[in-house]
Amino acid sequence: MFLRIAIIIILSIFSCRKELNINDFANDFDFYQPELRIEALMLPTDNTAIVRIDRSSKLNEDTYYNCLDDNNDWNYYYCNGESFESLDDCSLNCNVDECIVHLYRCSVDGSSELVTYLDKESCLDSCEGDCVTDDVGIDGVAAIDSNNDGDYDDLGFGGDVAPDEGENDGLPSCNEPYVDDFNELLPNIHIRDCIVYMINGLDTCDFIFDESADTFFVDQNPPASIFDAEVINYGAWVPDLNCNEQNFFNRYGSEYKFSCDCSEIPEFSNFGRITAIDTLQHPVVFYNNNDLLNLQNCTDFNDEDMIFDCLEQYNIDTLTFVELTNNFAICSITGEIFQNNEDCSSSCGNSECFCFNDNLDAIEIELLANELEISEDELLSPKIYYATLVDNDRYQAVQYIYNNIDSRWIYYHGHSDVVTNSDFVINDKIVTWFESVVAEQYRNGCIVESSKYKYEIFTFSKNYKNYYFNSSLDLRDPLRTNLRDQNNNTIMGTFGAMAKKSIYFDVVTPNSILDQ
Amino acid sequence: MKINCFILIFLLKLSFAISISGTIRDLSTGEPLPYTNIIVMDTNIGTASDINGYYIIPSIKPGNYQLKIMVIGYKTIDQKIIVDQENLRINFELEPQALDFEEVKVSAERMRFDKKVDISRVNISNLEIRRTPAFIESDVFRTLQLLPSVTASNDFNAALIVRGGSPDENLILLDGTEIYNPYHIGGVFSAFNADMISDAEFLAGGFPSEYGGRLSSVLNITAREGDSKNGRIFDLPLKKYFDFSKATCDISLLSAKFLAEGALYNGSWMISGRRTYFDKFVSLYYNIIDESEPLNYYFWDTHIKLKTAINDNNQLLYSQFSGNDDLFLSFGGDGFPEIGFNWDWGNYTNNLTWKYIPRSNYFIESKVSRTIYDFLVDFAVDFSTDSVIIDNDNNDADEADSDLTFNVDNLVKDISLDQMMTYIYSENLRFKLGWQYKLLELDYQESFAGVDRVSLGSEPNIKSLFFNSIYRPSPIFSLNIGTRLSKYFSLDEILIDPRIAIKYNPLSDLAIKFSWGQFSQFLYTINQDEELLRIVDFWQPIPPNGRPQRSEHYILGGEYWISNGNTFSIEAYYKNYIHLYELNPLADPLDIESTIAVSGTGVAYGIEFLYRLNVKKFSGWIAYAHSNIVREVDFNSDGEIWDDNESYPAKYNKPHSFISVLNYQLNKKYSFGLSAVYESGQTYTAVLGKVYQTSESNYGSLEKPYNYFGNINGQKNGSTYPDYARIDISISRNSKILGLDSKIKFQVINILNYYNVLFYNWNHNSSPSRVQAFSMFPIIATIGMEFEI
Repeated sequence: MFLRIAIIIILSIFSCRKELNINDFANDFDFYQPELRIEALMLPTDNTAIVRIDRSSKLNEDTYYNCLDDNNDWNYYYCNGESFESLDDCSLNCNVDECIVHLYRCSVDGSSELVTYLDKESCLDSCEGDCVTDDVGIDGVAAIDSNNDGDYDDLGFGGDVAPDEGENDGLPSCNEPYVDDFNELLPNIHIRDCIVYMINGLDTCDFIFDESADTFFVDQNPPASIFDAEVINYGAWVPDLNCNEQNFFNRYGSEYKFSCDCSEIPEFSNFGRITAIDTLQHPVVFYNNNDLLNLQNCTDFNDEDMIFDCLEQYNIDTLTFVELTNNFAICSITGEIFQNNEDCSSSCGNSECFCFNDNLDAIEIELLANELEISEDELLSPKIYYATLVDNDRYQAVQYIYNNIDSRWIYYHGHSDVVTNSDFVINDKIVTWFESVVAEQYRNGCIVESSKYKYEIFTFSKNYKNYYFNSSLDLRDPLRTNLRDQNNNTIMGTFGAMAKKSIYFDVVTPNSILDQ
Repeated sequence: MKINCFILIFLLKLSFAISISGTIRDLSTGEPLPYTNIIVMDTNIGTASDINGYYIIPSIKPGNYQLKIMVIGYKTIDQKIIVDQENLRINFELEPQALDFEEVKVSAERMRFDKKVDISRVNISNLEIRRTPAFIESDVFRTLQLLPSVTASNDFNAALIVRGGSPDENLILLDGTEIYNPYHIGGVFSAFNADMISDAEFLAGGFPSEYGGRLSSVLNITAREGDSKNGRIFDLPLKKYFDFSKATCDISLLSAKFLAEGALYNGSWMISGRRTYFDKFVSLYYNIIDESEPLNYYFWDTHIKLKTAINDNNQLLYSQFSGNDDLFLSFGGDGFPEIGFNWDWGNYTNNLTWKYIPRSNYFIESKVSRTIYDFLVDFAVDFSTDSVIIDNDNNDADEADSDLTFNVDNLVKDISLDQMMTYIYSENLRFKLGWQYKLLELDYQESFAGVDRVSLGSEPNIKSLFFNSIYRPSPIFSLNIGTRLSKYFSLDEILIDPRIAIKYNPLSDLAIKFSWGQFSQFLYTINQDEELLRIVDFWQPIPPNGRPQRSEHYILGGEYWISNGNTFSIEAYYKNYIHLYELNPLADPLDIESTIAVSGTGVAYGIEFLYRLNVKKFSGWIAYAHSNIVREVDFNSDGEIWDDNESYPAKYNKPHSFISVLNYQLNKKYSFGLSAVYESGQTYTAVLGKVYQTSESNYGSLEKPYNYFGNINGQKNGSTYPDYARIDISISRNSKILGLDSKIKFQVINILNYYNVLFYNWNHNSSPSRVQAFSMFPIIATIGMEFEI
């Protein structure tokens, strides 16, 4: 990162940049023909799989980004006193002709209610929060009059942002939110006309294309609360239902073969049948750190399945962590101190309550540790411990937060992880590792919005590990991808597995422990 | 028996040989005069002084002789001497005079042409460095990059790429001490203040065995010793011990420099310093507006050189160099998380040399030196929105109060003991014999949130022994044979690096040279060759179970002396490499020390033409180079070379390069300089297509399998940027300002404003994709002033 900072500084001082015509690079890319990129991923702990087959593109393709709102979700639609995120939603309730575009939405902190307005003036007249719009121009950023002086010439850090081309013109423009977004782009790259199957022993599992095979979360644009994260559906190949009934995808230790033939599509006919082989790996086992010695005894076994079964005896799936701060609220009128904001609000009125937090003192920490029967170190540095077979020394950790309002898990953050210290390898048979936890309830100002979290830890099969962790290798590197076409040439992507295990935890306040 | 007789005769001759030795100095300043010719008239005997002005005429018979001492720019001395049965010590001081090529037939260059067997050697003087147009300031690296054997990866990167070798393959010595990171501002400038350089000897390949530990080249910079003759402050007897002679100051748009010099007991002192001052204006500005500085940067360097002669036979030299860069950033606060970033790096060297110069035909140089290169980054974030974590006074990120910290520390400590004896048996046979013990400490620490993420440390040592002899069996044939034996602490074997250079003069003005040699290197940098800027070097020892990097040079060349100082040379070279280390993309975190690098091979070959001209008021050179550099590295460690990305042209492969450097001294007042370069563009990896990808942290997972259109790359370094072209000019005017001798230098960089591409940046978020080019230096005019006190 520091190198990047220095490079940016030097380049910004001395370098000039200019836009070039991509036709000047025709010698480089003219011969390039679109390829396939396949991510065939088995999920043994869910007994399922997903195969993403997508096309690559030439640099001079002119179809993906048309700067139009192809799926009619830019800004808002309104009919019969109700607002909708898209024309499709609106048309479920009204005739399409009755749905009119509303350019502004009133955004009020803590409220997810969709209240929209035809234009900015009517929004400003009625909205007690911020008036937001997708009509922000090609820079993707709404104009800001930082000091409300009616102009946009107070530039600099934290200053004005002037309106740009396409802003407030009532029409979708390139780079504006919901124009050429995932929902519009992804269908264009998915490949639907292939024959896809996997073989395990004598069993074969066929795959079918599903336009809504899976989802992922993205931040809303413009950014809002994480609980308002947008869910993107994407199309992919999913197994026939019969496969799940056969427990097809959780046969650990056995070999799986993948086959994909897209020859029906003329531009991909030269690849013929694409194949790959991989074997499943066991997931992690979450354990209580007090059981570490017991886990070590599991290394008395030699057979991997027996070691894993032994580890599983100590599996846990829920934990509780304690915040290390006292949170309280003060009523600005009376000066009275409340243990939580709700009490303060009901007594003093929400707008008069101010929230504070205060680190626990040494005595409180000692008391808490004694109460919970853990060491102070465990209290101060909360961790989720997990163990796996020794081959699984690389992981993906994904944290979710629970949204109490609509009772669903929301993606919070994710990162890869690697065992970096051989002290964590026990007898060359198992490896233990941990995920450090930030023990904080999720608050919006003073209000606790969630205290429940979930971690999913993934292990990787050998080939998926190569694909995932060797990202500095080219996508077609023969080590990175195990997919081969009929001529034994590499195909971008991989075939493998990620085995998932979940653990749930609550974060509680120290008072909830000490008051017991 | 025959061997015993030979040894006996040899020893007898050694015992009874009469020699003349001494030092040649500038009469006006007392500084040594290297490459001065000492000729014994009416004989075939003659020699030249070395870089320290020292000369030895061995094996002279008793009798009366006349010595002629001459060098370009000085009045010739004729002196009668009587040689009897004792070795003579005669020191000379030459009086400077205006340049006159006609008067002095044999110039310093001619002496080198006649005497030096080394191939691919160029000496660049202080004057040449300062005359050559350069970006803001004269710079020895930038001048060297105008030689056909050297290239730069771009305008922002001063790292020397010599005949296909990566920058870490160059041995860079300052007064004999190794410098590990010779750059300022991330490689825009070298760490060496041009004012303090006396001579820069550059060996682009086939270097003799006294140099070791590097694969490609040697740059041996000798600092000035200082003016010991013109003391003007003290009177005797104090003057004998210390005095001040003069000082020069130089102000450019970048920095302020000074150089002061004077006399020391039986010797001299010199101190030079340089500091950028832009940061002071930035600080002043933020003081005036009463805000804390968000960003600042400066660098400084100093060099001190002390020389004293204890007596006629013993000299002590102390040389000290320090250079440091400091960058800090601070932003956030006022309701936002505050981020502090402090980055500090530099070199610190000390060197003490004892020269034993008896009245005989040998001398011994013993040296102890220590060099430290330290690189430290502190990065701290405080998420609490009302605290201050940056102390602008000491620019330290206050980690104790920070929520998140990131630190990188790279330390190289090198303590070297060297000893070398030069023995001149006769005019036609001389030897160098020496040893070196190098004790290193290399540490690399990376921590995140207070937890060590990478911790590499080692204390290797290298013991070396070398032998080198120059034998001239006939006036037209010379031979330089040497061997360097090296023992690296973790290897059981002793590495033998034999080297040979042959020089044949079929005509007195024509020299044909051939050189072959093997070279070993035990340290390497883990910088990637794709880097745009040589910000810093991360030095590492070879992996615990790795083999040392090796190269082999074959060089064939010819040099023709056209007339005074005008030479034309051709050199063809072929270099092959084994065990070259590159950063391993698949390093195992559980064994990072052994797996951090992956080894490969390489081949570089090319041909270079160089015409050095010296016609009255014109001087400079015109050159053309053709080269081809290919590397093979098994990056994915699968035991096979995958054609597209594992066998590739090097990043700095530039097949064609035309260079011209011209200086014109119009009169005593005005001089003009011009440098012009036209060469093939650097290689880059072309983008062929695009595919939807995700970020590295969740590749192919379920979290976010689609994120952005990423590049599909073609062959590694398979394409080339447009040809590079740049013309720089400079005009200097000498004058008197306020009674002080002064010089104003006006320079224009890239006067044609040629758009030299640094890199391309693709944006796939549009149809079709878009591409931007980032350039190197546009046209830039700078002015600087120098004055002498």
